[in-house]
Amino acid sequence: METSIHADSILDLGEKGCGQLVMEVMLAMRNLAEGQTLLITAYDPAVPTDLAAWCRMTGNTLVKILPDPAGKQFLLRKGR
Amino acid sequence: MNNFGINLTRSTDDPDRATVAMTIANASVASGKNTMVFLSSEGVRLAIKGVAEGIHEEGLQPMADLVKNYVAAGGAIWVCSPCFKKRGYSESDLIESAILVGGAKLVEFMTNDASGVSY
Repeated sequence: METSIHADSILDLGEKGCGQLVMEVMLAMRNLAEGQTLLITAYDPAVPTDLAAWCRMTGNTLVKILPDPAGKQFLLRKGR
Repeated sequence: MNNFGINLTRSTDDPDRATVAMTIANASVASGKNTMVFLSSEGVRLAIKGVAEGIHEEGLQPMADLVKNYVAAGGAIWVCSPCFKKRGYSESDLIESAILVGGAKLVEFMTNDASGVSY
């Protein structure tokens, strides 16, 4: 099991979800260059499906959901 | 399909519903969609200066933050002109980011490959 992961930026969103969550993810991704990664910590139960949909719509990639039982960390890679 | 319209008929009369609508609007504009919130009926009050600042439904983001972030990200706010006039408002009452529109403008947007939801 992987114990640490490299990311170019991190974002702790706590219990935030829905529109507030993706707005903050969008703003954080604006500061990254293509190919850079963002590690998100979030606890809202809808985050896995929302982030996957957001990535499909915006050309970014949900690289992995880290092996946490609660699915609390998400690694995104910025697309074009 | 990149146009997404949100018809919102509530404001101070139903802060829960109004806040959820603006939360979805934030999700849409943050997802790269050309997003338009159409305020009609009681919803028009959200476009009046100072009204959003008075709405904070428990457990949800404050309305003023939702409106500010939505507009900063490029979201549009269209206000039903007859609904606005019926309530005795004038253009000087409008927040800077909102514009008055009639039905044709809404129809044009929604028939241009748009999808949407209504609250």
